[in-house]
Order: sequence, then structure tokens, then C-alpha cells
Amino acid sequence: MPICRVCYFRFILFALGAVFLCPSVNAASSVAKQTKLTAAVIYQISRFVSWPESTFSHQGDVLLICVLGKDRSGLLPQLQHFTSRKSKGRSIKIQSFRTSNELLEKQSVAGGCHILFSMNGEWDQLSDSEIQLLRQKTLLIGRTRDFLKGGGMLALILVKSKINIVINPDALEGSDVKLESRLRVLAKTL
Amino acid sequence: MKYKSHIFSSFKAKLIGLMISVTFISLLMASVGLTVVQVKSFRNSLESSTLSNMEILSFNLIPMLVFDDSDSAQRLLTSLKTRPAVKEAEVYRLDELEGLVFVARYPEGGEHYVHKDIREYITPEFFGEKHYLTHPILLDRETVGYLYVYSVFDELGRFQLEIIGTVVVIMIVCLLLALIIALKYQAILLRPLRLLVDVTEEISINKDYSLRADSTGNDEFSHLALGFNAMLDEIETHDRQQRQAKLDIRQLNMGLEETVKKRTVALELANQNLLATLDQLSQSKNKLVEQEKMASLGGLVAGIAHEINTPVGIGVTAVSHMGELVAQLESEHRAKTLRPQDLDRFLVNANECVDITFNNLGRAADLVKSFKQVAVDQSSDSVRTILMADYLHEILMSLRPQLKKTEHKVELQCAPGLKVRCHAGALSQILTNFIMNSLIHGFEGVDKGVITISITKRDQRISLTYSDDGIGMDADALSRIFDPFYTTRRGHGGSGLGAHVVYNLVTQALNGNVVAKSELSEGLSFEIDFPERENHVVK
Repeated sequence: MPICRVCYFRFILFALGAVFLCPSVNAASSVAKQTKLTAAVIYQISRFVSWPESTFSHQGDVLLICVLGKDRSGLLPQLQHFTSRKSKGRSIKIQSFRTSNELLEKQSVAGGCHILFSMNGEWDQLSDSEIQLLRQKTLLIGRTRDFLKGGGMLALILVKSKINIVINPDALEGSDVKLESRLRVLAKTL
Repeated sequence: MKYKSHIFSSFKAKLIGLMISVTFISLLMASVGLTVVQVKSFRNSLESSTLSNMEILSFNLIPMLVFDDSDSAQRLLTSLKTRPAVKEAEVYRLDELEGLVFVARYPEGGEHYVHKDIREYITPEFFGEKHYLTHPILLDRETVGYLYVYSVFDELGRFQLEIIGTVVVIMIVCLLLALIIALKYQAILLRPLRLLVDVTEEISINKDYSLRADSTGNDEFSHLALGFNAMLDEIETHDRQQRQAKLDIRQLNMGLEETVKKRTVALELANQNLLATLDQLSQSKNKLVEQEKMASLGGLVAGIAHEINTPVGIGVTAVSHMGELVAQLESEHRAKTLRPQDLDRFLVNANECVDITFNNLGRAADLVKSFKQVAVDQSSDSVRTILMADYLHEILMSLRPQLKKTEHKVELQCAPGLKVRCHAGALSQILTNFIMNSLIHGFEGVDKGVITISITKRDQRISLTYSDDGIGMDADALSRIFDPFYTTRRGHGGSGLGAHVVYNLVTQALNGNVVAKSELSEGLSFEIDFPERENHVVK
């Protein structure tokens, strides 16, 4: 029985689509999950961090979590979920800075971020002095070991679908922001 | 008196026992209380220590739970090796969706706790040496998980044994000390009491109430001794009074005995006098009875003499007349003037005289014969068989002198052939007395009285009823009619022994009984019942 050429072509297209599209769907799902996990880890880390007393001048001051860089993975919406919760009795506010310049410009206006999560890319635009200035009162969190090497304080590195916390002791030592020891027990050192 | 017969009979033993008991109970209560408190305190300290450790552990476990790092949690639990009491520990994470999620366990491996909700042990519980504790793991006042710990505190058991041993040793030492103190001080405490007891024993043995207990001092025993001495004062006084009273009583008894002796002698004398008087009275009574009998007999004799006097007188007259006729005949014969007609007249007169004399002497002989029988019966105790009707006639014959002076009649009711064997003299005297009583007393003021004598015999028993229709007597007189010397006519010839003699004759001679019945103006009757005698001689 002869096969319809149009139908055969359509079948080939469907099969190719299935072959090439399914992994991308799985990858997207995995990224979303990682993003969600990253947001949760950032929130939980905030509960084990101590800022200098001058950071919060008022009892009602909020905890400002900033995201630097383009949010391709949808981290901001995930972090927004935690604004309904509190960390150490403080409300949480999420702020995004697309560029390092924007960050530097608005840093003083906004009163300073308490936690800065850096997406890949924009971090490299900051100079050492700027980083030095930032980490005085801000917990700098990245995603890679290079981030740590570049003066970052804490990195959330994905290993086998699990996020490992890696710290830069030198950077932490030079900051007024302190990680609680019980968290440092869990963290790995650069 | 012995006070050491029983282990706890003495006050000393009781005092020692009391002190030991109080000490023991106090120590026991204090020891138990202290032991309980100590054990509880020790248990609380263990629990507190465990809780502190668990809080530290929980604090460190928080990031492990938050970041779901079970490996780190497992490593952290391994640190419990340093606490041998902890036998089991488990960590759970509280997930919003899944609830309690097991994280790690100590010792590693094996089944984790699933039998019971660990949250039940949030309030720690002790079961002997076993301790169960669940500690909530909090972060910012939010429960992020639970740490469950099961411990076995061997030291708690050891502590209990140690504290109990210590308590027992302390108790033994304290009891020994208490015993020593009790033995030491009981002698001091009980010395006044012992002295008091010694005094009591000495008083009890020697009856010396002049002794006194030592009352120096100001304690209760001194007060007791004072009271005891006061009591002794009273006892001594009473004893002295009692002795005096005994002496008085003894003297009184002696005087009383003397008095009794005197009175006894006097009574004996009086008794002798009374007996003599009684004897005299008895003799007098017997004499009077005899006199009554003799008087009765004398009356009988007088009556008979009077009765005989007439025929004898007639006979004497006839004989004397005949003597005159004989003398006249003799003179005429001597004078040869005797004529045949004179002789015929003489013969006629002589025959008449002889007839008269014969008749009158015969009558006198009958009278004498009757008198003789009645008199002999009355003066003798012979029992014989009599024809009752004839005998009654003879009695009436003997009483004819008295009866013929009156217009009273005697009616006899007796079967003609009735033979009775009895004491005839007694019967004669009884009826004589009855009739004489009726004539003298019963018919006083009565012109024509009737005396009825009725005799019947049935079953060898004789019933005699005597009655008159005289003036009778009242109940008081009737009740005393048989009393000796009782009479309504004293001073008028009555001796007061007639009825008494009758009573004695009926009851003693006839061996029967007599009943008197009477009312004023209704006459008097006697009912006599006596057995017929066999061949029996009455005394």
C-alpha cells in the first residue's frame, strides 16, 4: 500500500521535533527548579547572616535582596515569593539592577543592598575597589568559583542538581557582614 | 511488784522505745523526703543537662535542616558518642508539604523511630532510668524540625543506690546515737520516777504510810511526788482513823460479847423461868382439865346421887315403914293381940313396901349401873364396841338430872343397831360437854331449846353432828372456841376448857377432827368426823 508523501514528511518533522524539543523542555524544567532552589537558598542564607548594627537604623527596616544582571532564569519572581515572609523578623524586599552602573548609582539612594546576588556577566564590570566597598555591608553571592575569586563572598554552586555553598574566607574576613558559624559548618571553603 | 516482766512493760523501756521510734520515724520521713527530693533534683539536673545539650545540638542542626543537609546532620549526631547516656537520637525536618521528614539518626543505621509520634515527648518523660525527650528545632520562632533523644541514665540508678545507702547508714548511726542518748538520759529522766516507785514498793510491802517521796525539783515528777505525798497524807490519816476504828470496834465487840454473855445468861434464866412457868401452866392446864373432868364427873356424880337419892329414900322410907309395921306386928304378937286381919294388913303393907323398895332399889341399881358405865368410860382410856343408840341413851340418862330441870329436848338420830368401836369415854365426855355447854351457854335465855345429835357411819368413818338452836356466837368467839381458857362466862363458873377438852379428845383420843359452825341467834353446831377403831388402844 503506497504511503502518502505529505504524511510521511509530517511524520519525519514530528519525530525530529520530538527528538530536538524534548531535551530543551527538560532543561527548562530543570533550570526553573534550580532557580526556585537558588531563591530559597538565598532566603535561608539571609537567616544566618549578621549585619553590622548600623545597617538597620530602625526596627522596621526591611531586608533588601538585590539581583545584579539580566534575570534570564526568572530568579526575581521566585525571590518575590519570599517577600511575604520574614528573615530575622524583618520584611524582605527584592530589587533588581540590570547593570553594575545602575547598581552603583542607586546603591547609595536605595540605602544599600543587604544581599547582592550576581548573575553571570555584570560582576566582572565592577572594579576591585567597588567590590571592596560593596562587601563592607553587603553579602555578595554569586554562582561560580570565579565569582569568589573575583572578590565574592559566597557562591551557590550547582553540583549534581544540588546547590553547594562555597565561601571565600578572605572576603568574609574583610567584611562587616558575618556568616553564622553553624552555616559556615555547612559551607565549603574556596 | 515487778516492772521488768516484759520487754516493754517498764516505763524505761517504753521511753527508750518511744525515743527510738520517734527518731526512726523522723529520720525515715526526712530521709525519704530528702531522697525523693535529691533523686528528683538529680533527675531534673540530668534532664536539664540533656535539654541544654539538645538545645545546642538543635541550634547547630537548624541550617542542616534548612538546607536539607542530612549528611551534616548525621555527622553532627555522631557527636552524641560523647554522651553515653544517649542511646538513640533522631532528627526530623518539618516540611510544609510532607510533614515530618526523617533526616538523620544516631546511632547511624537501623530503624528510625516510627512507633510513636515523637512530638508526644515534647514534655520530657522519665520511666525509671529511661528518659524520652523531643526538642523542637526553632528558627525565628518557626519550627523547622524536631530532635528526639532517648537516654538511659545509669547514673540515676547508681545515684539512687548511693543515696539510699547513705540514708540507711545515716539512719543506723542516728538510731545508735539516739539509743545511746536514750540510755544515757533515761536514767537521769527517770530517777525521780524510780525513787517514787521505790517509795511505793516500800509502802506496799511494809504498809508504812509515814514514808514520803522526794519532791525536790520543779519538774512534773516533783509535782507527781507532791501529789503522791499529799495522797499519802490522806492515806495515813485514813489508816490511822481506820486503825482507831478497828480498835474501837474490837473494844466494842469485846464489850458487846460481854453484854451478849450477860444477856444470854439472863435470857437463859428467863427461858428457864419461862419453861418453868410453861411447865406450871401446862400442869395447871392439865390440872384444870382434870378438874374440869372431875367437875364434869362431879356434876355427873351429883346428878346421879340426886337421882339415886329419891329411889333410895323411898326405899329407905318403905323399909323403915316396913320396920315400923314389923315392930307393930311383933308387939302385937308379943302382946297376943295380933289378929288375922292385922296380919293380912301387915302382909299387904309389907308386900307394898317390898314392892316399893324393890322397885326403887332396882331403879337405883339401874342408875348406878348407868353411872358406873359412863363414869368408868370417862375415867378410862378403853376402846370398846358400843351400840351407839344405847350408849347415847346412857349418856342422856347420866345427864338427866340437868336436863330434867329444863324444858329443853334432846333428839337422837341414830340407827338402832349401829355398832361402833371407839373410845367410848371420850365420846361420852364430848357429848356431855356439848350438852352442858348448850344448857349453860347456848340456851341462855332460851326456854325450850332443841338439841339434835346425829350419828352415821360410812366406810369405817363416823360422822357425828351435834347442834342446838340456841343463841349461837359471833365469828370472833367462834374462831376462838377451841382455845384453852376462852369463855364468855368467866366469873360465872365457866373455866374456858370445855371446848378445848372436846378438841383434844376429838383430835387425840378419837384421832379425828372437829368443826364448829355458828352465827348469832342461829344456834351452834359441831361436826365431828373420826375413824372407827380396830383393835387399837388409845393412850
